[in-house]
Amino acid sequence: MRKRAVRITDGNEKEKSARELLVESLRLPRDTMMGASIVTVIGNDQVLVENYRGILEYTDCCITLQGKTCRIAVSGRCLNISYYTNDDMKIEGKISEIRYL
Amino acid sequence: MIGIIRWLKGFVKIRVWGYAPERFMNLCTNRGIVLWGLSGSGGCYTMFLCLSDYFALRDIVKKTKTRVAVLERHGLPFFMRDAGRRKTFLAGILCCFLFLTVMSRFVWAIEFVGNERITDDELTDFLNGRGVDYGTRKSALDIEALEDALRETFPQVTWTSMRLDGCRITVQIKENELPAQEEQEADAARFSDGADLVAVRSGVIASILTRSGVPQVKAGDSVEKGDVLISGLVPVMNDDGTVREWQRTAADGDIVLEYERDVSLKQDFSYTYKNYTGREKRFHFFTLFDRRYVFPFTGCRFVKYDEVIQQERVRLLGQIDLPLSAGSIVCREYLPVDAVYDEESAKRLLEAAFQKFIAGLEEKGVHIIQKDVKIGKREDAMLLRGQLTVQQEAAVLRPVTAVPETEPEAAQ
Repeated sequence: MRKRAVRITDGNEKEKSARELLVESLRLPRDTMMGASIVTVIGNDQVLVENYRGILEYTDCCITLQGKTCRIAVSGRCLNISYYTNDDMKIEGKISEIRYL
Repeated sequence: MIGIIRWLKGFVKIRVWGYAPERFMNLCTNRGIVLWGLSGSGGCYTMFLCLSDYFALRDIVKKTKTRVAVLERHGLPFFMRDAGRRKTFLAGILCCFLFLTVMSRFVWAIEFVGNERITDDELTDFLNGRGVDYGTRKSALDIEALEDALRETFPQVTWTSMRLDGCRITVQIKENELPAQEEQEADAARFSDGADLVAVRSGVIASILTRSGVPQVKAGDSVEKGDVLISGLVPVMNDDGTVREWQRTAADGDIVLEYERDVSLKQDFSYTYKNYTGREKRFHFFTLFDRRYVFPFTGCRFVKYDEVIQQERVRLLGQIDLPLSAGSIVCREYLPVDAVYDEESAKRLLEAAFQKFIAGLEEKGVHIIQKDVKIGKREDAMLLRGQLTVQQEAAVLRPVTAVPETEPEAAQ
């Protein structure tokens, strides 16, 4: 059962480039225009990640991904990657923390 | 669905270890290789990938300085390779398909729907007579001809439909709900040339009510079996009182005959009953076509026993009836014990039998006027003897045979 879905997009709030301003003013989708990663968390045991470049580190307690604008670190226990394609991936396990590095 | 496609294409589980396994995964995805079920840590990972993708790993392995080992193989390509070694297994599958293909060309189930007065046995006999039975080839069936023949054979069937579903023939029939009316119409057609009502037994006329025809007797007359009670020849008179011609009609009326009927019932004092010992022996059997095979072969060694048979027809997937039945036979041993009724019990049984006899008569429309019976005792039995005076409608139609042609001529 899908308990709760939280969508977090990374971005820099402090300094807005001309491209960011254009995207905001025209209300264009940030993920396609800015290459922002989409991280969808379902409960505390599933994470869906889109718009990433690759895996930097993979252990059973931490998976670090290289996004287009930042790095995303998913920490927890017994972490597995259910599927891994060029577009998206699904991480399963007991997730305790998601950090943007 | 994805799982089925993967199984058809074949997939392998691999273990990757070495210098940069993460880079190995990234390169895989960059080249369009889908990985799933990734797990592991400490520089050693396991994952699944399609068989065709596995052969594209060589460059990636070189570039990332990793090593790959196949742990498991799944899917159709591997199944086919393994099946090639198991020739008996393949032959079994082939035989199975062949068996199903051949067997599906025959009829293995016959079902009757909608018959109430016509029994299943009658319909089965009819089909057997037309060469339709379990195991008949489907191509040899002429459904329309069978439907026509069924309607001709059973006139009370007003509508019939035969359907062949797979290996099952479903015979749907609808019977005429008014058979009495049809019978009356048939009688009217049969007796269109005139019919007399004649007595079916000897007796005294208790009452007579004529609807059509000329009554030949009156209440109180004695008649013999075969006497004409109501004639189907109605005279048409001339003015001078002579008969001009005879009109033929089917005589109709209610005629009640009163007659005496002997009754004799006997109840023996001695009788035998079954004293069950409680010992039972169970056998299992299967019936293939008409032949029964019972296990174990030793047979029942009881001297006297009753058999209780439970049998069930084997159905494949709950749909296809096979000519195979299985069941069990329970043999219950008993000892025949000779016993004797006392006089009172025998008399009571005899009276019960007499009441049953009377009830049977009344069910047949016989009205009992007087009972004159006596119960007597003999050395070995109680006897009930006597006479019943009964009234019953006892007349049937008989086509007019003797037309008095000479009478009108004589009259002229």
